[in-house]
Amino acid sequence: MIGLKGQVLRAGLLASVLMVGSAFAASADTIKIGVFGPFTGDAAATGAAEREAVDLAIKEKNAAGGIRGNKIEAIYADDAGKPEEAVNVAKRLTARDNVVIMIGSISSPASLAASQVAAQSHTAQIVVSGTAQKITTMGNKWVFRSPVPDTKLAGDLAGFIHEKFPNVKKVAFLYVNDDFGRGGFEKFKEGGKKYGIEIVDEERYARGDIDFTAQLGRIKASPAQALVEWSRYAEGALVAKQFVQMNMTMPRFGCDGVAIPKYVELGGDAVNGVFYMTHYSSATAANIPAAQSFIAKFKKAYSKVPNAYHSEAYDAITMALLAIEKAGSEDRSKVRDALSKVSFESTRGPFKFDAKGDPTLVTHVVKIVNGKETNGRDIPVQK
Amino acid sequence: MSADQLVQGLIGGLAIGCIYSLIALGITIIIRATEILHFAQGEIMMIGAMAGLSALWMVDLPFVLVLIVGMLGGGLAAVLIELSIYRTLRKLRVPLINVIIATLGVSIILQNVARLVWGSEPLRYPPLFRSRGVEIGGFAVSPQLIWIVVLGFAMMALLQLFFRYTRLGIAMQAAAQDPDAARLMGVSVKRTTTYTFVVAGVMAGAAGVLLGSLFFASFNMGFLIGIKAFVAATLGGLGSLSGAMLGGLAFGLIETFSGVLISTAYKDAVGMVVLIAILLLAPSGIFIRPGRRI
Repeated sequence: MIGLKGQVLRAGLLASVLMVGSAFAASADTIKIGVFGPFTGDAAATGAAEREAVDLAIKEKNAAGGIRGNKIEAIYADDAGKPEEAVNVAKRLTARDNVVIMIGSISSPASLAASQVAAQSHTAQIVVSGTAQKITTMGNKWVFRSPVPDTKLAGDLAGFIHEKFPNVKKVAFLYVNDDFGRGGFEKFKEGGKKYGIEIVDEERYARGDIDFTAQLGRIKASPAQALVEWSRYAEGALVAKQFVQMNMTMPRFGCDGVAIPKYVELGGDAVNGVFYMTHYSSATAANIPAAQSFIAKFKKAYSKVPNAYHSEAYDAITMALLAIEKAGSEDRSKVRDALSKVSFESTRGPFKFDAKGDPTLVTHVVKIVNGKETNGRDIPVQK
Repeated sequence: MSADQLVQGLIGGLAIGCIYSLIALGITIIIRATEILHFAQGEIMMIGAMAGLSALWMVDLPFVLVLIVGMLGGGLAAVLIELSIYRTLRKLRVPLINVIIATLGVSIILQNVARLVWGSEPLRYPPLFRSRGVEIGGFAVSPQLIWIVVLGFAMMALLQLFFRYTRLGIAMQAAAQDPDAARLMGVSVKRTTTYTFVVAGVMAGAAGVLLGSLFFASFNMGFLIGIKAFVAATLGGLGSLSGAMLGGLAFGLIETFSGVLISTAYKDAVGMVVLIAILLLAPSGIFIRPGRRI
């Protein structure tokens, strides 16, 4: 008897505590922004970058009085880089935490999975660095992204090769055999057609491979004049090392997957001379005032130089705050409409969305010289 | 296939094959001594690579010393695990299959410990050799790959000498082949089993440093390599020393040339198809006559 009574009492107490808790949360004067990404797992470093950038922007905004007198609060949620987890955390953020807008995730698969939740819950989502084109072409008006999509990256790379290496018409294409690599390959093939650039050798490898001598051997034996590669930094650094070991000398072009300092660190001397497409680089940011002030603030807060993930996440939170401000309320669909019309000076240049929700930024090209990033678009035309 | 591809494939395949062989040898001697399929051998290799790298961070060591630190690291990790986990399990008379599952657990634990200690990002191994290829007979040959082949072969030769000519090596062989007879001859089987783990760990540690210097070190570097070494050991007939060595080299070459000749996209799959084909056609491995051990 006592046991049962105790249980009923305890359940009642628990229920009342929960009710008080939720009532309290709802009445608090904060504007909540959901931020999710891989805070644990293999890609934890990229999630940490997202968090640092968001923290910085929110602190800044709160120090300046917040929005309409309300403080901004970021609710962080870990998706471990997994699509199924991204769906879970997005559901939690939109249903339980009642966020006004979501920022995340880092990778394309996780971002794409979460975008279904964005559509169902009518919450705008800003993808931090997923470049897969299909994220914004699935007819989902709630999803936006901070980076330019892979279609544009690959097309711009073909344009860059055409402009600076007019004699290169035959290229070998080496890529990681997953959505990221295949996407790059398809898009480059399409983009190259316009300039008469033909892929004469197509080589693939599996994620996590370490030995690329077979692929590089076939490329060396092919009539290719240049190597275009769609890799992430770990595999990319090994490709670079083995490329040098095999005394290959053709020009090399990479994608945004290698555009992080770890690539140069792992590759050492072997990455000198590589060109790659990037969303952001300190080297190409020299003429962008917003980037300069961002770098200064970031250095002051964390005593290090921001990377591409920092910059993309910082722009994402900046536009989210702008949209909430412009919307004049915390209504999710008003915020979404305001977001679609934002126009501001981002760390990567003047920022605007096109009709799909992709930014219309100019892609940056970097060339590695003596282990340092330099602006690749500054080189003279190669004969 | 051009002549250049043939040379590159041979050297590359042999170098990665040497690394498979070193790990496969450890798997083999552990199987012979304890009948345990040691799934954590790839992670012992990773610990060896990390130990060598950490030593290199502290003091600027020549490559040979890094290699020795890696071997010590691998040996130490293996013996600690044997003493604290496997020996206890054997003492409790736990069924063999459970011990084998425990080795899977150890492999996952080691990966996570390594992630905590050394982080989740791949770590650069300082260039231990010059990286640009040298021209030999018109072919670009990487000194790094040559060194790995040379050191790998030297290590395997030393192991053969150890098992053939030292008292401890002979005692370990005897204990593995017939524990009861060895016991009657005054060999402590308990001790030789522990030494078996030490030797296997040392081999794996050496493989770790060689692999790290060729590629880089990361907490999960041991997983796939460990599985491939397992395939190599099976290819050579599980439990055979020379079989494990040849199996490793053969698997390295098969993998590389299937990439060159068939398709690089299905390199891993081709290697595994070869494995299954060999198991179907020659169930005890290609380098061993049925029924014979050693």
